[in-house]
Amino acid sequence: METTTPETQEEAKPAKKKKVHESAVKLSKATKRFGDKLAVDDLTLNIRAGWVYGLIGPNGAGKTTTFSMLAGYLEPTSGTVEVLGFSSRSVDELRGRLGVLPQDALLPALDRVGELLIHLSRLQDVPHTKAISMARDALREVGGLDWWDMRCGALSHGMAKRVALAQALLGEPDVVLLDEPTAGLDPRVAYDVRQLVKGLKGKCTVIISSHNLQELEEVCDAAAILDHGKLIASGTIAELTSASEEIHVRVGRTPRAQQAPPLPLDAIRAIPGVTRYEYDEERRDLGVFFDRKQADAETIIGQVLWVLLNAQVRISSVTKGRGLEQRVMDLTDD
Amino acid sequence: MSPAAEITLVAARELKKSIRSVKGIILGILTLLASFMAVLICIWIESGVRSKIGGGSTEAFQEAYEQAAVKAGSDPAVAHYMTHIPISLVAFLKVLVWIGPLLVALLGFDSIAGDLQHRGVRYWTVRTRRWSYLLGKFFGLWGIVSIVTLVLTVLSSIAVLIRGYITVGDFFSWGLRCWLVSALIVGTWTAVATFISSRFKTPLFALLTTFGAFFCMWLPGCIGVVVRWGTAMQQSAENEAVARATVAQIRWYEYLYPNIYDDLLLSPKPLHVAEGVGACALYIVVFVGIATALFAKKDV
Repeated sequence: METTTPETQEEAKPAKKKKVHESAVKLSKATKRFGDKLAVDDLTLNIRAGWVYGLIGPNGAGKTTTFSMLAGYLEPTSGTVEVLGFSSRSVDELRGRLGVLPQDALLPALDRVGELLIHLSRLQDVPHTKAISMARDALREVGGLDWWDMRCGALSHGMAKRVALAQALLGEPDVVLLDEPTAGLDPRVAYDVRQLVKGLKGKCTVIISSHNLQELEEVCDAAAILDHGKLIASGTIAELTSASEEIHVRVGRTPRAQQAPPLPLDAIRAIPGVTRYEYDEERRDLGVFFDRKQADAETIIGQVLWVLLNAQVRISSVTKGRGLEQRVMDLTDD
Repeated sequence: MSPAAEITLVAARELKKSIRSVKGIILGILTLLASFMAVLICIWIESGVRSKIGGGSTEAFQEAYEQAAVKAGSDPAVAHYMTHIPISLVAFLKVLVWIGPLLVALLGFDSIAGDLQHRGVRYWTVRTRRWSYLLGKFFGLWGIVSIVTLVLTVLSSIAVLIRGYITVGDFFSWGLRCWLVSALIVGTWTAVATFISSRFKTPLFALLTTFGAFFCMWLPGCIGVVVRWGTAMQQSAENEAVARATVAQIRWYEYLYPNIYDDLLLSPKPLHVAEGVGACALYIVVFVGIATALFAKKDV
């Protein structure tokens, strides 16, 4: 199985005190079965502390099951799941250090937002007065301080989602697990949540399970792509999208009155570092592949554009790599 | 954080939730109304017994009652002891041990199943040990029902105090003891209800199963009483003392029905009280123990 970070040092024996971990989350041959159904199959992952990490895959890929094992909701059938060096079910050791936003867990309708957050803070071993300020801080962070006295049952979907996010951020945990954090949110709120997650980068380890690939590409440092319960690719976003090994140029349409100039493919192939090219006429997509040891993406983009513009070719867009979405489509396509 | 602190926080929230919920308020009002009726019936029973046995004052009544009990074959020491238990309080205890399980079922069926249904339990399982969460729910439910029965006991005691059937001393001794007995018995029903609630994700199924289980617990008790009295009636023609012993002898399967423990818990014999307390404790330990063990492994 592929891992995203190498083992740098032997893990010290888990202790109850806070430890600094190179890898914040580690799954070793984790397998989860529901009866005959194999939901997650022999999954090994090593997620570096401080990263924003995405769990990607189509429906039934095993994202939510993996997420649930990380949060301790589910026990792996075999293998181990460790968060900060402890079993993900070690509540006492992970208290206040692991924050979780479950995807579809309803907030208790009768509780007022403030008192619920205070109660959850108290369960993180925080004295009452500090719990109040902690709850206020978390609610302020998601822009919901005005909802303090509202009953959870009276919140809209978007508001409830943000309150749930606030409880995940209570007490500045070391690891935050977010399951579909922007699902069902309007674009403005989704943007705010993305900014909030970006703001967590470097402060704590964030693991996001989501279908929104553009969002993951935007906020994540690295990701794992799952399909049918198996890990099919993992790495940094740049590695996954091959951003340092290929560029794509979308060729623009020529006005009807004019004749389309021929693509200078031989000239492109002759650019130093370019190893091959692919042109998809239907999508008008020119893919240029290069050896990253000889040239970087920016150099290749400059030279390819120079060649194309000299040949009077109209250009619609240029991207580094093939985009996470395309990569996932390629890898998970049956 | 200690498990005790976790349990206290979860139980306190459960208490608060029960008091503030619409369901809790409606149940509280209905319970008060039903209890008011029950108190009137208990007073009516005591006044009936008093007029039948005779004796104007409480002391005179107790003396006459004791003599009647000894004449009927009771052990004089036990008869002396029993006549000091106010009849109306004992009658109200019999009502409480019926109201208790009903409240437990109606208040507790969704205590855990409700959290499991919409996965709200996930906000707690990352912060509390699973068994602390379950014990918090158990103690919260036991606490709220015990508080309700305490309020009812106090109200009924005041009513019979006003009628002059008990003294202020009886109010604090027998009233409190009757409440403790009811609270212990309520604990056993709560353990069963908590176990069932932790096994279902649909509260309605939990409710139906709770009532089904309570019925199954009541059945052996009911059968035991019928068998005891049936046998005793056959024996009474030949030997009245043997018949009385038969009525007093609890069959093993009757122990499945916690409400029969009230006689044991009110007994003047320490061994009987210990037997009653032990039976309640066993019930609670078994059901809560199994529930916590299964809940710890449960996928939430």
